[in-house]
Amino acid sequence: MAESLVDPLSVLDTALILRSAMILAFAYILSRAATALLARISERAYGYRITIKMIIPLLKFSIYGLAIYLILHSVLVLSSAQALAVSGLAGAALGFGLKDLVAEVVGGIIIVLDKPYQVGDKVRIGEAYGEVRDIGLRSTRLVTPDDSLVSVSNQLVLSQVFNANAGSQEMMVVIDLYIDPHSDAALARRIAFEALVTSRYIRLSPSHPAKVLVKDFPFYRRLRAKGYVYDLRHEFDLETDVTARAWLAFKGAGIEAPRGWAAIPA
Amino acid sequence: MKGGQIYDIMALDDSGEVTAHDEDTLFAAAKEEILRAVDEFDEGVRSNLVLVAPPFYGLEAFLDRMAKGLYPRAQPLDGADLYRDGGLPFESDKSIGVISGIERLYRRRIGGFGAMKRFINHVASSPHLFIASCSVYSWDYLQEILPLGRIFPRQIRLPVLDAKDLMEIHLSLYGEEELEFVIEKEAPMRVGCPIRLGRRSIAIRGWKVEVPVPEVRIKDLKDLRPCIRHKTEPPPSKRVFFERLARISGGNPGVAEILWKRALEYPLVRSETLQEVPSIDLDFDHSFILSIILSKGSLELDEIEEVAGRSMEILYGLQRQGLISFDGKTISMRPDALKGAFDHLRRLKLVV
Repeated sequence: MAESLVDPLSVLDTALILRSAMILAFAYILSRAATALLARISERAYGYRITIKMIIPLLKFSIYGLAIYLILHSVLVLSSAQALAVSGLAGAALGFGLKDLVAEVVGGIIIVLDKPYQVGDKVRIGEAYGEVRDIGLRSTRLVTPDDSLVSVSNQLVLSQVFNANAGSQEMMVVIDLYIDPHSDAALARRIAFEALVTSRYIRLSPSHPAKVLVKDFPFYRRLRAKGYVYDLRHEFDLETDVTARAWLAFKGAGIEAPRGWAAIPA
Repeated sequence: MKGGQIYDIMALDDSGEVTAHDEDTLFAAAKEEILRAVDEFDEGVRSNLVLVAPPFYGLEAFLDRMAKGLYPRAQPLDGADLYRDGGLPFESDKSIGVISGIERLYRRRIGGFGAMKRFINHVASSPHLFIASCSVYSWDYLQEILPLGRIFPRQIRLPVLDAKDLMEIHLSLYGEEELEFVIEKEAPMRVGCPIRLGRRSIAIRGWKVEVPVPEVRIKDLKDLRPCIRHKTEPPPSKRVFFERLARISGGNPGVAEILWKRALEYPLVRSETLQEVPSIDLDFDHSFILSIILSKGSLELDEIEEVAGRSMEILYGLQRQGLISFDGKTISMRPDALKGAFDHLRRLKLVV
């Protein structure tokens, strides 16, 4: 009984704290170095970019997990009483102050194990949309289309993730073109389809088809062009290329924008 | 067999690129399939056939010989001529159309598929039998856009040849020891250590500290591969030559033929003329235009301008890298760069 009342802080000395700090520092450096190395290799190995980047969060979690394990078991050498005391302290800390932090770390572990998205994917998490640049212990960093770096808490992964490409380098892009409802739908559809399949950014294969759907609305007709961009980093290039060339051809074919819309520039 | 005389293609040897002997090895299956299609056509079953292969494979010459062999029933047609005529093939008493290069019937731009669509409609509704050839890169692209597979239900993809096949083709005309293979030693490869120490400066509280950082050099990692595979026993020079020929030509017999002619200084065969294209490093715009040229093997400058706008500086860059060549206004893939270009474009997923 007396053993269970040992003050866990009494076993901590300066050397122990230093050793723990060194392990953590080494884990940090190793994690950064491994991340940088893999990121560099992935950019060079073009077709396997996302596959290689998938390894990064797994590696980081493994390194930090190992560091924590080493600190708890090799450095602290916890007895059952100390383990009980530490767990009691941890429980109290979690209950009061670190609840969100733990939820974020748990979210990070879920991302690594369940893979709702990976580094390199295009995702929408909550309000943020962009390419996943890094999955950290606490948060996921996205690069938005306007090149802003946004950190999103890993807690959100449990409820608010939309993944556009699911680990693949190709990604479906949906391009909407709105035309006057009196325009020739068949001709407009053919032009939109050809604009899509002749784009330099399109990826065409049996598993990456291209399609144009037409739907009428009360005051306009919508052409929805759906195709895969060969690299998700060119999502907006494909959209721009198809839209610009399609409208140029629409104008030549007498297909107009819905009345009342801003005039299409020449 | 029906029409034994008119199908006697082997007897029609002329100065075409593909010799009768090559046909034995390369096109035996294709020829058999064509003759079967013709036989079935005579029995009332029309099943159009297309041969699909990379540029330089020798399909044009082979089809030309087939058309001559099927004379007077067959009419040879050229894809480029059909494009100029709007995609509508012959209206004549010939019952078999032999069309070389149907990849010439489209251009990769809005409105560039009209001729191909008219051609498809014509073939679908025609009573004639059609035998065609198409570049594999265009075929794979067109298959995703147009119902080509439905009007050409018989599709024959010509195989990639290995060193043994190439040896058989090229040595068949020579005696056992007639040729002497001169294999120059591979240039001693500088193999650097793939991991080096670089230096990075880190700012800590306003102080800049230089720290050593390990850096991995991808190129050195690649260079290590042949060292790891190195064998102590040197293989026979003939085998070395043909293995290198197969590797550089990508198993394409037309490319191999060009490289063989370059290497042959009778009675010597010199391997030093077989140079691999160094790894290609192109930006996206260069790669896209390269993919357009690759898809057809060769094309006119105006077609590139229709597809990608003015691109002279890009074409110049591709020429400087030894990937394409100019002949007046015709731009062609360089045969020896075909495999390297394909590998590069496949890595970028610009070809299937």
